[in-house]
Amino acid sequence: MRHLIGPVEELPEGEHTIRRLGKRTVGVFHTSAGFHAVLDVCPHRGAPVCQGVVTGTMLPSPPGEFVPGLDGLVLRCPWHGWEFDLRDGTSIGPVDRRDLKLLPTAVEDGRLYVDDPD
Amino acid sequence: MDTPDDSGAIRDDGDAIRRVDCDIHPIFADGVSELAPYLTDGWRARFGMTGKADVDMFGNVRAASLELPRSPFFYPTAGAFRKDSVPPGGGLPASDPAFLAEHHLDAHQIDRGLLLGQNMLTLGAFPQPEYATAIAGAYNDWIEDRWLDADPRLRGTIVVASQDPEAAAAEIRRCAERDRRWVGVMMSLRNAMMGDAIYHPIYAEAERQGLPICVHISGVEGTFPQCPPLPAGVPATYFEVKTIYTTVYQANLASMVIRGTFERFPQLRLAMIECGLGWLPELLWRMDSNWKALREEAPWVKKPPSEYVFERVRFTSQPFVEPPTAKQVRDFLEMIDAGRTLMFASDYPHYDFDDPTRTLLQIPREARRGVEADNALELFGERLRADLGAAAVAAKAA
Repeated sequence: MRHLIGPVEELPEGEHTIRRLGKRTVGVFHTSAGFHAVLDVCPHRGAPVCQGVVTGTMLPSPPGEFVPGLDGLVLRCPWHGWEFDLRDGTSIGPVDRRDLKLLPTAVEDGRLYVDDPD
Repeated sequence: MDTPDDSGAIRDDGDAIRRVDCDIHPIFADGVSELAPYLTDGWRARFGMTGKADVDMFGNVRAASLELPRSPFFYPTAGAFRKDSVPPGGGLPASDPAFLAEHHLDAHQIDRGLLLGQNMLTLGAFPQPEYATAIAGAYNDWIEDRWLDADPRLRGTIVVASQDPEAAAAEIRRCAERDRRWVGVMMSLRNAMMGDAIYHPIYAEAERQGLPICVHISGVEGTFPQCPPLPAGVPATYFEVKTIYTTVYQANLASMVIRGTFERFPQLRLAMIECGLGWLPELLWRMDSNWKALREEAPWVKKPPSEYVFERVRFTSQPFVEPPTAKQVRDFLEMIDAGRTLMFASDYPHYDFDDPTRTLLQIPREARRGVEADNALELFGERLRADLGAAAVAAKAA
């Protein structure tokens, strides 16, 4: 089922919105990589993950070195701090096999939609 | 010919190594003065080993002779040794190689025994790096002459003083390159965690030589400020110390994994000898759980921390866990993948010695062979396996 989020200019890059879409709560994030619709349930312990901060992280690196990366593309869960790549929902590290559940987004006639297949 | 044994494993019938004891403590028969022949004139003089009485301004003979550090507070009141380990001619337990061979190696069918010098356990407590370095070098020479030459089943761990890590690396090189009966590095610890860079020169040389780092309870944890401190404060009894010293080794294992030691030294192996066991599942679970939230702080930890431990670290069995039921023993052994990670150790001649038969019978059949010999052979490799003893003695004589 297709849900209208709104005109794309109402969600500039770096912003997000959390919406009730039918029975589910979904966060829609606008990053440098585009729009990402995230089911608001952390796969770890069910936290409202979309209330977490959008940030960067440290990339895998040799001991003693820090290599910042993925700036603005990482969603950090507000409960236990697990990090997920907003572009595909995957766990950063990966520290776990469980990923975020993403829903397809679409932009038509300047309007942003989220498609919920369920 | 390779044949499946009753555990389903394949073993070369010619393999003579069926039981390895990873913790045997040789002891000086006549105290530290036994090192005198292996020290320079200068060190003999400094350590009061020249035989010349040193008189103070009041005419009293000064106690100038070297004493090895020990805790004045924490020791087993019943004595530290098995009473039956005293050689028939008298003397200290484990001070006579021939009696140790008969009383322990022969009696328990031990094919290889790893020596961890009793008198060197507290080397890390010396505040003088030069002293500790000189003693370590002399001690290694003494072990070769007095012990490794005495029985081809024995293997040495190179004693190094981490007070001077570069000198320690040189000592590893000196021993490892001249004699293949050295199978590991017995590293004294300072009041710095094992993931700290001060140990890097030692790790680098151990890795280069293919020798695992071996750490063992020192008995002076928390006693001297230059040694690893015990948590929470200063205990009052040996009972407390013997119960809680294992926390030092838990902390060190976490330090090495999280500080990236095993990433920095990709071939480095570690044996934790008499460092406790029961804490291991909790530490592994905790590290893995915390990694999921905190990996950003240590982005060089590229896989679950427990995997570094299962791949690189091995633990000795003594003192074996004693939960109330046999089922709890089995459950615990499964949690730590004992068939891969655990190595038998007796701790001879200490009072808390574990008899190999009694210990090994508590290990499930599928894990027993690993614990009894194979995990040690995998860790210490050809230097442990090969029949080097007689050849090394002959080479020395020539």
